[in-house]
Amino acid sequence: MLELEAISVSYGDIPVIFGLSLRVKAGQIVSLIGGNGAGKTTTINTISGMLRPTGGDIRYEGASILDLPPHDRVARGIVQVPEGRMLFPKLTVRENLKLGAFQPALRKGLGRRMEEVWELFPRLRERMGQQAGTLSGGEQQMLAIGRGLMSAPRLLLLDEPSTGLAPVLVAEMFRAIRKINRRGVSILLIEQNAVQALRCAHHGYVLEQGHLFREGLPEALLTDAHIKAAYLGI
Amino acid sequence: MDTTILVQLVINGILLGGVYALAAIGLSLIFGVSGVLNLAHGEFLMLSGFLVFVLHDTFQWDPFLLVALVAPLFFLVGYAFEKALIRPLAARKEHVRLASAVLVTLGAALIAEDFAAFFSQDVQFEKSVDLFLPTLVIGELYLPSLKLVVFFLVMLLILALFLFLKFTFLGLAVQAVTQNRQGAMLNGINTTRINAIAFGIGTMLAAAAGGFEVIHSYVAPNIGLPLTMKYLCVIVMGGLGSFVGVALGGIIIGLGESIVGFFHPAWGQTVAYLLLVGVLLIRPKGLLGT
Repeated sequence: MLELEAISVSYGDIPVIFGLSLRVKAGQIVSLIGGNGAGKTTTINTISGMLRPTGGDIRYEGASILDLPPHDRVARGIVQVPEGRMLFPKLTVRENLKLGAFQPALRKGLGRRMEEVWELFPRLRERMGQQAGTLSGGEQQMLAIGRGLMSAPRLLLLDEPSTGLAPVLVAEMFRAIRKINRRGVSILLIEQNAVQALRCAHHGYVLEQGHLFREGLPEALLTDAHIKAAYLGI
Repeated sequence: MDTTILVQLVINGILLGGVYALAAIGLSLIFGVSGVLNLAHGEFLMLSGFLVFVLHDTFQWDPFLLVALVAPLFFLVGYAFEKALIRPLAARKEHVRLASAVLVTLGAALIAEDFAAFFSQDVQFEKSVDLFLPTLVIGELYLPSLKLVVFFLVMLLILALFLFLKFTFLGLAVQAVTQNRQGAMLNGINTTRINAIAFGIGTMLAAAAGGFEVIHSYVAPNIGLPLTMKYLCVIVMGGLGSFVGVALGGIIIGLGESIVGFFHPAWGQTVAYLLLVGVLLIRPKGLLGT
């Protein structure tokens, strides 16, 4: 579904990603783990079109998407739920969700998809008329994911969805991610919470300072001595 | 000063402030969405006023009808202005972009001023439309009906803008870009296009204000930049991002000018700045800023 072919990305003159190749197959959850500054967020911002790679190619469903601006990538079903949520704080929960369906083609099924979001996160329905900025951290994360789902994603890019959440909510968040995946949405998951992220994934990638360090089945990565020591705290 | 005069000045001030509020809300909308302080904002007001004047002079059409025709035209002017002059700066680094935006919009303002001065030289400098409505007299108070009609229309336009921002997809997207540009991009909103639309709407509001100015007061080639500065005072006083605050700010500055102008009209701009400083000393974020 998505193939990164040896992409390199720089901020100005400073290179941060060095020839990264990665693929997400349809229906999969793929986890990309790595420490702070490894280039995880840079990677998905490049997939979303916020950054342009200096080399390599990004192919989605067989065709290069490098020349598509971010909003056209959303229209194709590539939807990012960013780190730090990036909600519209003064708009209500409902208005934030509505904006997820901003693309004209998405407005038709708006009501039905909003029902689906509410089914996944019943808390959001209770908070419908409240300003997004007044929600708790967990609720904001639910809203950010809900807003992403309103864009009818086929590939959902999740950037640190569990950061800053209480342990109970972290478990709930990973349950929701699995549920979304079972509805047929492919997911690229970025996480510092490496154990959980690998446990729910079909495939895993480990990024270290902009280089691909390891890739493979989650079970293999979870037992890799170096990864254990560096990321899993075991 | 006896109370009747004071009440009269307050009424005049509120009516004057309404038009300030309208144009200032336009400037604030543009700044909120694009981060560009459009120093040519007052020039669009001035040019629109001149256009209404010329059309009225030539065809004797109803000036309010002309405002309704000319203002939407300035939506296109604002849209094109953003596309041609502001958008090319977007790729620059932040501080270069801000400095260039000041230069570009200031340059456009100066050119607009010269342009208007050049074409209005052979006739008198200040243009106004002759429109007479009988003055309403209530007791000892004189209500200028023309200004009342203008004020009513201003409030109607502000209400229309509010409804647009609150209840349409496009309006919500404009708010979204103001509140979190990157978040908006990731939501499939074409933020480049929203920038141009915001310039269009903001310029349209300035153009409507320009039409109203020429109806109840006058326009002249050199009013643009001082007005832009005044609107800037209004926005900062009202609080960035709050249209209700900006509307209040407009009316407060209108009031200040009206009352001080009774003693001597020369101090209008000074009053605007002093009021601004006064408000900021008490509320550093403006009246309703967050």
